[in-house]
Amino acid sequence: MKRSPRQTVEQARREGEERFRRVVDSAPNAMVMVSAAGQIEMVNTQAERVFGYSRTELLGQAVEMLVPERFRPRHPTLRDAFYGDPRARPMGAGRDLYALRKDGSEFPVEIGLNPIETEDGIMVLSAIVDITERKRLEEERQRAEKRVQDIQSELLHVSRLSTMGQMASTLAHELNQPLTAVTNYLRGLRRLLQSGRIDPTRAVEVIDKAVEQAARAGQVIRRLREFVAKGESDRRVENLNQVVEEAVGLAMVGSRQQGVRISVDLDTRTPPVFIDKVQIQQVVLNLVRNAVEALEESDTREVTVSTRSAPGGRSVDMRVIDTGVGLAPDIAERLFEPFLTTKKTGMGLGLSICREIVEAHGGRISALANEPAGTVFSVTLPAGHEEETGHERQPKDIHCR
Amino acid sequence: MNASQRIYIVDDDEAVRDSLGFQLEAAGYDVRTFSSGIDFLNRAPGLPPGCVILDVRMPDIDGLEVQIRLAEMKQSLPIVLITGHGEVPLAVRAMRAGAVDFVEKPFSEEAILESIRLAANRSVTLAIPDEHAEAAASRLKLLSSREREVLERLVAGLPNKTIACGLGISPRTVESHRARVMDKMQARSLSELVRRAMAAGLRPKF
Repeated sequence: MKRSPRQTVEQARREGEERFRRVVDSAPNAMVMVSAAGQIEMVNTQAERVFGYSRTELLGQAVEMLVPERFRPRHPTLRDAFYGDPRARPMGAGRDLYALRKDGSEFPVEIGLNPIETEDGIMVLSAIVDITERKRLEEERQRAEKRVQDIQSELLHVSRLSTMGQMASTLAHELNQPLTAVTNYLRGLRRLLQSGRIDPTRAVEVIDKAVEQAARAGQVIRRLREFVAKGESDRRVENLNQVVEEAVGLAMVGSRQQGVRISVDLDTRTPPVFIDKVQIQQVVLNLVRNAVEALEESDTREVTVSTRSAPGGRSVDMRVIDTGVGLAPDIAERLFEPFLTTKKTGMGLGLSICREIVEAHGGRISALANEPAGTVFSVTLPAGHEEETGHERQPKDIHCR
Repeated sequence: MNASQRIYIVDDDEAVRDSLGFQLEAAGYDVRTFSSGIDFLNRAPGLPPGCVILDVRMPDIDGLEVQIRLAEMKQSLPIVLITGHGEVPLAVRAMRAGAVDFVEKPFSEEAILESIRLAANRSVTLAIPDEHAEAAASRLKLLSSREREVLERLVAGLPNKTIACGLGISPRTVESHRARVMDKMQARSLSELVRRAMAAGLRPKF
């Protein structure tokens, strides 16, 4: 039978429609076709699966049934806006989109919108991708990235701290050399003078050499001061409590082994301080370690680290208190001078470095006796913000030393 | 000039070298100085017997390396090492390799002169010092097992903290064990302790 032209066109249209349906149905994404009135005209198998509805439950219904309730009121307006400018594009650029399942649960989606011309007017074919998994992976990636960043900054911090420790060790060596030379010259000289085997010219020569070496030692100290005062100082506005807590955490490593209890008593109302965190932590670390060492011979082994806001909030007082043997009066006076030490091993540089650091920050450090036993080290730092202290203070720090 | 009066100082730091030379000359020694390990090794074959004072920490080749190369050259000069702060483990290793003694900077005049005397009494460097081995061995028997453990690690050149960690005790306890070990071994210094322990045949434990 020969087909009429009309039959042929009709058949071609049906075949085309059928092919379209098959393509849509086999698409890997959920697809929902919506009329201008907002009615669901067609869904594919994946859409049934994703939303949990059967095809018959969906067809002819308002598409808003797939939209979470809180977005529903605005949805028709947005839909109309699409018809005002019907072109293929993603829905809700830059916003997080969510879809609603039959069971009432929501899931994050990405939706691509495509205008389709049909006999019944323009319809919108939306391709809906469930991005739950992608989102989860992205969040996980961000968390991992953040963790890596945290670890990196922690490492950097620890390595800066240990750089300062290393610097102290290098300095100790550099100081040892001229000091050894000075003593050698003077001992030799004393021996020769005692035996009368030296003429004054030679003696003066040797003394000059010793003086030169003493000056060399002085230069090492000057370098240290410069390093601390303006070196790689990196000052920011910090919460001193947090800075103290971190440093105490580091100092605690190994302290329990020695039977020392370190407690922290922080004043939560302390004003912010403008400091180089690493340098101030070096001070805290040094004071706490000294305190722990001072307890070696004591029965009560307690170290307390406290912060207090000064009246008016103009400064913060940080204290490290131990219950150790305390300071001999003659030591107390010269406590912060370089090369003064009561330890068997040590160059006596720790507290002098602490003083350099604290004073470079415009603060003060002092020590007094604790009652009934032990010592209190007190560090006072001015409260400060970048604008106030940063730009005005820095030139002074450099030139007035 | 006899060999016991002759001293060779090898130190890269000019001031330390010159001042130590001056001090020892004042004490009656015949001193020659060298500014590097290489310089000394180059001239060592022609040198008459004498005591070598070697700085452990030197830029080109360190004291330990100088000691090894001297031994390879069959130059049996007694060696006293000078170490800086925290270099004791290195010095203990040097002693096991045959150095007579070490002194830690800053050292007293007494300490360095004592070490030189000790070196002068040694005609050649020996891996095991000719200390009275029997006496040392009988002193070793006085140690408790914990004390012996501490000593074995001291002789290995381990610092107190590492010893404490390894034995699961506090550094303070290591310190007190160490004091008792020194007492029982009748050693006045760490170098003397190492020498006695080696003479008694104690093996280091790392």
